[in-house]
Amino acid sequence: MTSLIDVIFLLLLFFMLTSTFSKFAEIELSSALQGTATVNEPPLFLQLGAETVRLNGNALDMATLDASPLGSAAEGTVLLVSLAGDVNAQRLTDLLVALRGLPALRVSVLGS
Amino acid sequence: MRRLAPKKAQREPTIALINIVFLMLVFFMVAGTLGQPLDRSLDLVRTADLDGRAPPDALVIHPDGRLEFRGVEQTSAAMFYATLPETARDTVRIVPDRALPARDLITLSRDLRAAGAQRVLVVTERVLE
Repeated sequence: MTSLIDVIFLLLLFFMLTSTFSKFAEIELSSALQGTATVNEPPLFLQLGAETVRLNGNALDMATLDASPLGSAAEGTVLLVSLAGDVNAQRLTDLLVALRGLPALRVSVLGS
Repeated sequence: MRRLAPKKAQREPTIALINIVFLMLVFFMVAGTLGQPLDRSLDLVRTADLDGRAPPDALVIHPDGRLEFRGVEQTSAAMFYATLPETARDTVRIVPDRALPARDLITLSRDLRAAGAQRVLVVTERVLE
C-alpha cells in the first residue's frame, strides 16, 4: 500500500513540476516578398509608430483597418510596412494580427 | 471488541489520502501540457485571437538581442540555423520578448531567411481579452 502511494506521489510531483498552463500561438512574420510581382496596383505604404499608424501619410486607427483603403485593396496589392525606431515586438505583432484579417494584401516589413 | 475500537480510530486514512493524490494527479495530467521550460524573465508577446499550438521549443530572443536555444547562448542566427536538423529547417520558430525592438526582430528574421529558412514564425502567448 505504501509503495503505491509513493509511486503516485512521484507521478504527481513530476506532472506538477513539468506541466505548463500558458497557451501559445504563432503568426507568420513575413519579411521578404514571395513569388513574382505581377500586380499592376501601386503598393501601399504604412508607417508604424509606437502610438500611430499612417497609411500613405494619413493617420489610421488600428481597430478599423477594414474601413481604410487597406480593406478595399485589390488582390495581391503589396503593403510595405516601415517601422519607427521605438516600435517593439508587441506592437509589430499587434499590427500583423490585425492585417491577418485582410488576406488580399501581401505584407512586407521593411528593415532598417 | 471494546479494546479494539480506539486503535481503529487512530489508523491513518490511507485510502482517502490516495484518492486525493490520485485526483490531483489526474488533474495535472489532463489540464497541463508538457513542454520545454522557458526563461522565467522572458515576457512573451501577447495576442488574443490566434489559433493555439504546442509549447514552443524554439529560438528565444531576449530584449537586449541575446539569442538562446534550450538554455544555450547562440552567437548568431546563421550559427543557430546550421545546428538545426534537416527536418526542422523549412520552418523556423522564434520566441521574442515583447520589449524587443521590432527592427531587431526583422533583421533576425532576414538573417534566418538568408540562411535558408522558408518561413519564420513568431510564437506568442495567448491571453483572453
